[in-house]
Amino acid sequence: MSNHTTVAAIISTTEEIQRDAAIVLEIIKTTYPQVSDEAAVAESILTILAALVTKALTAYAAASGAPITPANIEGLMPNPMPLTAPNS
Amino acid sequence: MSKSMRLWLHGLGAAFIGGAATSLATILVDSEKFNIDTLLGLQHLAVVAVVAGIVSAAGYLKQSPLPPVEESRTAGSKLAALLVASLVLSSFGLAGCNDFERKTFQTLSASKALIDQAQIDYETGTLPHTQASYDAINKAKDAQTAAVRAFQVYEAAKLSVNQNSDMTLQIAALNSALASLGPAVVSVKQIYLGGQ
Repeated sequence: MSNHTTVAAIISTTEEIQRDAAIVLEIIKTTYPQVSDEAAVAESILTILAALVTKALTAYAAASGAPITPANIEGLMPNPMPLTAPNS
Repeated sequence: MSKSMRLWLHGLGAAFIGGAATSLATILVDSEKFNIDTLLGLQHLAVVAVVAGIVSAAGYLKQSPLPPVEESRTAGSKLAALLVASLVLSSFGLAGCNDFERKTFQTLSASKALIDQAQIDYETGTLPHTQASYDAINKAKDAQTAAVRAFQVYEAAKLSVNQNSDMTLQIAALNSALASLGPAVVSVKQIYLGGQ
């Protein structure tokens, strides 16, 4: 199995897990309104994490076909913009 | 079974037993119908005990419908930990120079995507503007920069020497930089789970 196929399978599974979890959380919110807030928080965390993982895996898959050149390696540097300090 | 699940089940069991125990009071109210001396009396007592236990357990379920969620065991946490770990760790210690380079390139591509997204989420307010978040993302950026620099040194050394030359030092330095990147990426993941 190629790298690309494996990653595609993982992304597909990730999306499937996210969909299933969203359904379960929706049922919990409906059945137990007293935990609705907690379920909503869990759902949003799951959505963000799934998006993050998908993004990372897509980059991983894309890198399997890209040539390893000095320019491409330089492109792996993180965003050069400094982070805004917490108190500003 | 997790501790929270055990405690929750313990509470549920205690509620049921507590409810069932109250059925003994029926012996005092109507000892002819509810007693432990005759089979029929015992059956009546058992029915009341079961019903009272269910009512009591239902009351408990209303208060605590589900076991408390342990943060480190949520579906999201498991998913992210599994994927990030497999993503980063699978790249280490692989023999074969070309494969090593490719895996390094792929790992650094994935970690860059993750760290850059964390920076965007921090700036847009999706992630909290705390000192811990700030430190974790900056540490990850530093680790990414160090790993990319080590990869550049490795590639430069490979081009400047002949194929029989020993690249052990450069490989060791690159592996060390990649090993530091793993925990840094996990720390960024922790911010998303509210662990920072």
